[in-house]
Amino acid sequence: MTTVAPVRSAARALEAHLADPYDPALPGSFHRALAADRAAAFPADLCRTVQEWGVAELLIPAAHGGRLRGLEEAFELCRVLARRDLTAAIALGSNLLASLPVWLRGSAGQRAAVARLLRSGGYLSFALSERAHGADLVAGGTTGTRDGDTWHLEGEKYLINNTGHAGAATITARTGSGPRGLTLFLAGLPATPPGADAPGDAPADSPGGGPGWHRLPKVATHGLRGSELGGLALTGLTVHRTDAVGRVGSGLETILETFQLTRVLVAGLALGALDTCLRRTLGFARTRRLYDGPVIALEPVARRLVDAFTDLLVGETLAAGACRAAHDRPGQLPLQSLCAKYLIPHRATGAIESLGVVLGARSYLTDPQQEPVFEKMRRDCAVTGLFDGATPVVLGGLADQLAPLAEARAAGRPDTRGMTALFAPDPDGDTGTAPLDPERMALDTDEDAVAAGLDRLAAVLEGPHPPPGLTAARHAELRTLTGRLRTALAALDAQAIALAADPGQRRTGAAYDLAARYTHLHAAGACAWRWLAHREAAPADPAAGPAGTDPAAGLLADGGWLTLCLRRLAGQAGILPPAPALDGLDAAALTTLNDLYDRNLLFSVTGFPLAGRTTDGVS
Amino acid sequence: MRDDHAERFPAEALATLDAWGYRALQVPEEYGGRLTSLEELSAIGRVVAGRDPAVTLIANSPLGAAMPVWLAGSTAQRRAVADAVLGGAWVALGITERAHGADLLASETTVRRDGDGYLVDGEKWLINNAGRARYVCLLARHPDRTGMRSLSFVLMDLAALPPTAYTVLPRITTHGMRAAQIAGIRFHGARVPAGALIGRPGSGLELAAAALAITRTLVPALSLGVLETALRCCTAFLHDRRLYGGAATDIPYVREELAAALVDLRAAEAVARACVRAPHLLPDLVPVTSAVTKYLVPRTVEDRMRQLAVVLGSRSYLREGHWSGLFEKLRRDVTLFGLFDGSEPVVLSALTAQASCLDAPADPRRADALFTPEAVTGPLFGHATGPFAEDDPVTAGTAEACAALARHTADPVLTGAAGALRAAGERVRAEAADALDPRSLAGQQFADRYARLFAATCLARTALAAGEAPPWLGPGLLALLEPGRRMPAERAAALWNDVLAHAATGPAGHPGAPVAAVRGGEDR
Ligand SMILES: Cc1cc2nc3c(=O)[nH]c(=O)nc-3n(C[C@H](O)[C@H](O)[C@H](O)COP(=O)(O)OP(=O)(O)OC[C@H]3O[C@@H](n4cnc5c(N)ncnc54)[C@H](O)[C@@H]3O)c2cc1C
Ligand SMILES: Cc1cc2nc3c(=O)[nH]c(=O)nc-3n(C[C@H](O)[C@H](O)[C@H](O)COP(=O)(O)OP(=O)(O)OC[C@H]3O[C@@H](n4cnc5c(N)ncnc54)[C@H](O)[C@@H]3O)c2cc1C
Repeated sequence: MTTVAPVRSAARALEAHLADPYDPALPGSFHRALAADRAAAFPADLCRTVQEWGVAELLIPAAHGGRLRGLEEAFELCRVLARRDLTAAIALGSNLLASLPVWLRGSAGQRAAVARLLRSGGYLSFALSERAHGADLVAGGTTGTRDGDTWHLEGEKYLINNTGHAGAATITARTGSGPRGLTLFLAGLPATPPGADAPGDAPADSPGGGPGWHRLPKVATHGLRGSELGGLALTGLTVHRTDAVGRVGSGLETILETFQLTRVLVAGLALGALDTCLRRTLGFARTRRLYDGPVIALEPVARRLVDAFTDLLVGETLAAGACRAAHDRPGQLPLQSLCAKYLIPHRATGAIESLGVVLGARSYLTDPQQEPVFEKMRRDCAVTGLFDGATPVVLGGLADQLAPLAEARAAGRPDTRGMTALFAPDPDGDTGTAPLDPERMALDTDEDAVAAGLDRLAAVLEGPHPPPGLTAARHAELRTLTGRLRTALAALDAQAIALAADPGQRRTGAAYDLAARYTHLHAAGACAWRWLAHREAAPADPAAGPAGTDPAAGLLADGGWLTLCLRRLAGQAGILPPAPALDGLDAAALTTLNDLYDRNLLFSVTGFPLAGRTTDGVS
Repeated sequence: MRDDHAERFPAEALATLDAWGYRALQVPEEYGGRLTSLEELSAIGRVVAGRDPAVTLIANSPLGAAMPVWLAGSTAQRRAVADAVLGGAWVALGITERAHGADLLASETTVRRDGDGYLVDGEKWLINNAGRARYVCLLARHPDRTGMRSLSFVLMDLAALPPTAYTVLPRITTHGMRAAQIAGIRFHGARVPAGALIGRPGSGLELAAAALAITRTLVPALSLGVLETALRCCTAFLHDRRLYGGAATDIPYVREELAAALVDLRAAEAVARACVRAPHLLPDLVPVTSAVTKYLVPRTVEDRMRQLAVVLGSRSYLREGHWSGLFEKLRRDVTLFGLFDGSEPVVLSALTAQASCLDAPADPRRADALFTPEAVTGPLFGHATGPFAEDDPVTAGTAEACAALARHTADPVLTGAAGALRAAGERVRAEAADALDPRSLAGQQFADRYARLFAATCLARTALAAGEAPPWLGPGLLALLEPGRRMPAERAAALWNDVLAHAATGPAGHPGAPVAAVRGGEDR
């Protein structure tokens, strides 16, 4: 039996509730998700099932009457729902995105209203983007005009999820000038039936509206085809003074705080999609026979599978640390969430493309007979790099922080207290559950305690004798890898300082490449902390704890997991050339992967049981 | 684009192409068509692909599917196919089976002697035009044979078979190329005359390799057409997009990405052009050229499309709006090119198997004609000496080309690139001595390096033959040798006017109406 940590128990329960993904009769099945996608229909049955199960309580923080104790819990929920259907996961995720500003900065009345809407099975929209303004938040053209106790909102919000059925929205409007001129409003959007009672100024093709506003038509998209994605036309929507979320003029800050949290959740969406794509491809590679053997026996195929698995392992490590930091080290979160938002969607979409090569023609088929879940997931997952901060925007944000981080590293060690707890395998009940406190959140991070994991690791590996559990060869390789990663970090710091000194380098490709490379070194630090935490929790006694039951436990104990992750990150950061052959560690990783598959566990370092069957046997 | 969304056969667009005379390009001149040059066909196909890759795929299928007939068929077979194609018929190529993919020797479809003819049984799956084709060039196994000589191609004339002799399986829908009709076809004891065999009995595997080598040579033009249009589409949007008080194209990163796309386009087109000439001029080298171009051009374009999607932002995800969501369609269509007619790993394996050609001394002059500025014609499909290239006169000229580049330029990027190319040449030559398993990781990595060396040499020699060293040449060589490496920002800035010129001109016409199929403007 695998034990499930408290942070994952909600996700575990949801997974069990949704049951077998291969039973077409169930709303949580791939079959139904594919059918809805093909018809561009909202996955209403699945969402209703999840709502009836009680997801609303997990969208409401415990501090405000719900059951959500930490961001990690929400992250794991995203992951298990996304592995079935990203459209549903993102629709419910958008509810959290839209309500987070209220949880962070809203009034008691607003909180009660949002909780009521969520508990009634309603949807919310986070209405920030506009047709002519994407990432340039302060350029938005929607205005809020004060009139006594009310505000009139005018403008158009475009590419907004859930607008087809939202009962309320958090709307960003300009109420003054400059960065302090944005305000968030929580506006009710009472449902009036489409067509018949549409207000006078709503066009005929509008899916509905009310006085001073209407819904824009559904937007057709590459993936997420069933989403209720559209927009809102605001033609003088009247909201009350008390509908402003937080202070008037504090909108930008609140949005940036919100994004810090949701960017980590987006990583959960990407990892859920990657889990399904890897499962599908692995199933194919195990059963497909070419040249008198299974395809998985071809070295290039095994390489791609192990690499995708490793990307997943790195991703979950980085994300879990960021989730807990939101509660316990909020000062680290701005950096961690940017790193997670760039690296995890980027690597997940890359891994899915690579798996597509293995799956060959089957990655290209949408035919319902061919179990085309891969094809759908690939389209759906492509969105994860786009919203809540597109890749260039995230890299731009990181690039601006690199020089100060380098200086902090040069000036002395960042404060690493509590970092092992942040990365502990199964956090105890209290880690990552302190109520979210916007007053402790920062807009950027001035020192990187995560990357400092490499320094701690180097110290642990110092000395001629391998730490318990490690062979001499593994010890030597880990030392070399750690040394190279630290050297690379030092070199990067020097480059970052040089770039920052040249204003002409702002928003250049060189600056963004540096930022992208940094995320890999930061992730290496996260892996180091994770492994160090594991050693503290299970001090070198392989018989203790869950070893022997969790397929990945051996790989963690003998340093294999860490070596695998560091090799991969070093390769991606351009520090290690690609190995010309698979070695024993790759073989061990493949064994673990197969073991997780056979036992129907999530592709994760923690044993997380999945419901139902692994495959329906189509290959 | 409406055909794409509706998953409908693009009859109207194909009729327009037919009326223009595209169909005549599907039949060699000797047999009544107008095809004399694969380079010309590629150039035209590229223009069409810039509007709609799916239409091009279908429009090019009569030639590609009938390739076994053109390479090894009898005069009677050629006449029959030529007349049918010119009369409007379609042809399908039946190689792939559901359970066996790239493992052709495992084919279960059989062709069995029966009196003075043959009986054909079995199923082919994922066949373009199945259900529309009059002819199928079918790869089948002689049950009494084993090994490399156990397969033959059979020319199946569906019009001559009773309807009970075959079943067209239900259509299979796809990610991109949604207008194409992909299905399976099953033969049940279909009787064909003795004259239906294409070439010698048992020559099927060799003939499949030869036929695929030609079709692989023609695929890159389609990828290039896509990239060309995608770059225009992105530039047009970002040029008009206002951000941070200026145009999005004022952001250095955006300019650099668009300039890098232009460099990829220029570099890849030089590779495709040299390789498309090989069947005419250097048929012995086709096993190498076909693998290089089929691997590298689709790979480069697909990777660049992914980068462009990031630069374009949310519009890359929409099936409406800017240019009617054309980019979204192109990104789906383009991923097929690396997948079919020999997937990436299969093509790399094929290239590794050619490694011994690097050991033989070769005269670089033999390859000069691949690189001249003017198109050079030769016999349409020259006769290769065998399935293996004896030597490689292209990369035999690498060192010489590097020296010439370095001598004639003061451009530091180009000098650096020439140095990198020379080093790549030395490394690949040294590695070629180890006999690598084509299906091993090391084998595939070697093939990747060889393909990059070969491609960069093609680009270098093309530039030298033209006596030109445009500013994108150095970055282009590096893009082929070391993909993902960023060119210096100053160079990207210097290329900016070329990006704008590309966006403003070219076969796609004025921005906003690039695609015949979206004449009606927005599609909703
Ligand atoms: C499926 C989907 C769902 C969405 N849901 C919502 C939602 O619920 N609510 C909501 O408010 N929005 C939503 N969005 C909108 C999305 O978040 C915005 O579109 C996003 O902010 C980016 O804007 P843009 O693509 O319009 O690009 P722009 O911001 O206009 O940028 C265009 C391009 O300019 C360049 N660029 C921009 N900034 C920089 C920079 N700093 N450095 C370098 N280059 C830069 C990039 O190349 C970028 O791609 C959704 C989008 C999609 C596709
Ligand atoms: C839209 C579309 C149209 C098509 N049209 C036609 C058509 O008209 N006629 C036709 O005959 N076929 C057609 N095909 C089939 C296409 O050519 C097949 O995809 C191809 O034969 C490969 O088969 P597979 O994808 O099933 O992969 P498999 O061959 O089963 O390979 C599975 C995986 O094994 C690995 N692998 C295989 N070989 C090697 C190797 N040598 N070295 C290393 N790794 C290897 C790769 O990772 C590969 O992806 C079409 C396919 C599509 C998608």
